[in-house]
Amino acid sequence: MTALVTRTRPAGRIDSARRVRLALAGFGLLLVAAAVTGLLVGAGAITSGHILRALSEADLESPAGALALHVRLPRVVLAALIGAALGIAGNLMQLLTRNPLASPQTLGINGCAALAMVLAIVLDVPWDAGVVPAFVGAAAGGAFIALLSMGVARGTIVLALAGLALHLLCTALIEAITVLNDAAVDVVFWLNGSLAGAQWGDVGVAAPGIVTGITATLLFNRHLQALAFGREVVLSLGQSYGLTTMGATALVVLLAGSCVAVAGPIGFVGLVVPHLVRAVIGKNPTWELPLCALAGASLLLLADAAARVVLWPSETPVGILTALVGAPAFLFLARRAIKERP
Amino acid sequence: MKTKTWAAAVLAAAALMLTGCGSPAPTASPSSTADADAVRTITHALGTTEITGEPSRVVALEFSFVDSLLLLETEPVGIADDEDATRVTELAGGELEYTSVGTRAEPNQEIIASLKPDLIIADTDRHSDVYAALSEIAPTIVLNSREGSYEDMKDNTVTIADAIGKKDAGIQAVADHEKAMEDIAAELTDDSRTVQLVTARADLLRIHTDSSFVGSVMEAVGVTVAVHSDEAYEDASLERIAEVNPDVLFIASDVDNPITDSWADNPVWTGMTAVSTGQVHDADRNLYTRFRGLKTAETIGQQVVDVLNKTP
Repeated sequence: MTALVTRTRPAGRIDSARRVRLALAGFGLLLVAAAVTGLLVGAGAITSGHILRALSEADLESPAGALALHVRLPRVVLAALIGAALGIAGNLMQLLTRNPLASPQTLGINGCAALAMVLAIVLDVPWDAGVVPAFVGAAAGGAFIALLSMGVARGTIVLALAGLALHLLCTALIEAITVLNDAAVDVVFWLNGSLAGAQWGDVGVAAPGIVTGITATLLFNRHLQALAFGREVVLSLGQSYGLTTMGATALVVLLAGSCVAVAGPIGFVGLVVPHLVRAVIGKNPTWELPLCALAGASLLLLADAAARVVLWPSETPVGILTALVGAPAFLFLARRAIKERP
Repeated sequence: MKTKTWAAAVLAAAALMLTGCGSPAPTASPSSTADADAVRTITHALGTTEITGEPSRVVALEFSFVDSLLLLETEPVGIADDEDATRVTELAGGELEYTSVGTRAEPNQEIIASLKPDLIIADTDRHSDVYAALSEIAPTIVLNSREGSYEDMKDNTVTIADAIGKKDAGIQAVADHEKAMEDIAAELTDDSRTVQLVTARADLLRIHTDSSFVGSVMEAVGVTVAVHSDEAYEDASLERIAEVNPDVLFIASDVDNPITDSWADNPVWTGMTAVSTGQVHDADRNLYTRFRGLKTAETIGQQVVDVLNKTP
């Protein structure tokens, strides 16, 4: 596939390599800066100075040290993991549907997971088991999409539309349940997507799925990227189209399910990050997925740091911030994409 | 344009006639003949409403309105009880005979209309949008309960009393209540500890500041609330509540897995003063955060003072 690109755009390839190096360095630096910010930022009585002192003296028993180790650090790690997972899941969705508007949100996977979660609460399934319903929901959404895509052989548009319909159906049902059932109102914060409650336990819940998902995605990077060129190219490369799409769908379910289970449905990261990456590196399929992970992680880290302070002392659901920043950013990118089209 | 205005006027007149038809039978009680024809203008959050006689078929769309009505010895015929009758039983201290009109968030207007009420009491925050629709069913007054402070509840009680033709009884009830609160405050042995009530939901901890209902009730009986703010509520993370670090913590929760349980092993939580000194107490979420009436205020004040006196 790299050969394919090289043959058609030799000059662009060289330029692209430089852009990838720049992007790797830029997003890498941003990730480190965002993580440090996440560790130090908070508008409370414990300032970044307190935390730096506690860390430099390795005094983890002090209030500042305990805060850094048991509240801020798990939150930073979780934000990075979820941001990376959402970035990759979004890119996979866009490859799968060959639709730039696709994301775990658009394919209804987030919606199914959230609906399962709300149903679990209304039916009085204990919250401890909350990760299970979220996963079951995401898997059900993924399975539905996979079944549909098997039935309709060349149905990328059908797939995208079915996913959107599924998302809207789930949203409507959640709305109905929260209106009719008082207990469901108690998860409105979670429904917006938030990392406010992050602890090491949540990292433990989300990490296995996310790490497995990202590793598998990077291992099968080339097979997955072939989806961007459509069914014929996938088949011409000797891959099974059905197997490739099903594998990609399974990866999305694994990644998105893990995210929703601990942080609720955080939107727009999966949608915007791949566009951002493509805007920076241009057409370079090999590096798209890894850079999506890096960019997604840094952006969600920054958004989460902002979520803590914008309405301090109240927490803002980070999902609201990603929507506030993501929606206009997406419009900008979409406009630019239209202008660049020959 | 003109025909539309006319049509609206005719519709409004028809609506008035319809509601008028429903009400005369129950209101004509022999004891109140003197007031039966008197029209009172009640001023409330969304304007003024004219009420004739002594409404006896009252629909209450918030729990604090039920509390006020019971203080005034009037049992509502319909209550937005969130489809959970135990809440009303707990609030009233016994079973009430009433019809549930659904949730407070989304009361069922058809059921309300079927009760043929002669007064509807609605909440500013939750029901302002449906004020016009409710007003077509029966005279409606809109008061601040959900976002209201303790002082608002006193004012609401007098307004509700006025609306049901018992204004003097309302003023008396508030005076009696203030006396009762002073008595409770006198019981509190000198206590400088900071106290904080929080609601622990499954996904969030909510701090009720000194301007919330429960916060201002605590302050009224001489208790120092830890968080002072113009905002009634704060959605708090573990980081925030650890920073507040109250001496005594009351946790109101009615979910199986409150977020505070997930913090049980977190050093930041166990390091808090209230947690490490065993000053974390359970509070009834209905009583502390949902009912918001004057009788409720007395119960809360008494409970908090008792807990503080018992745990020096």
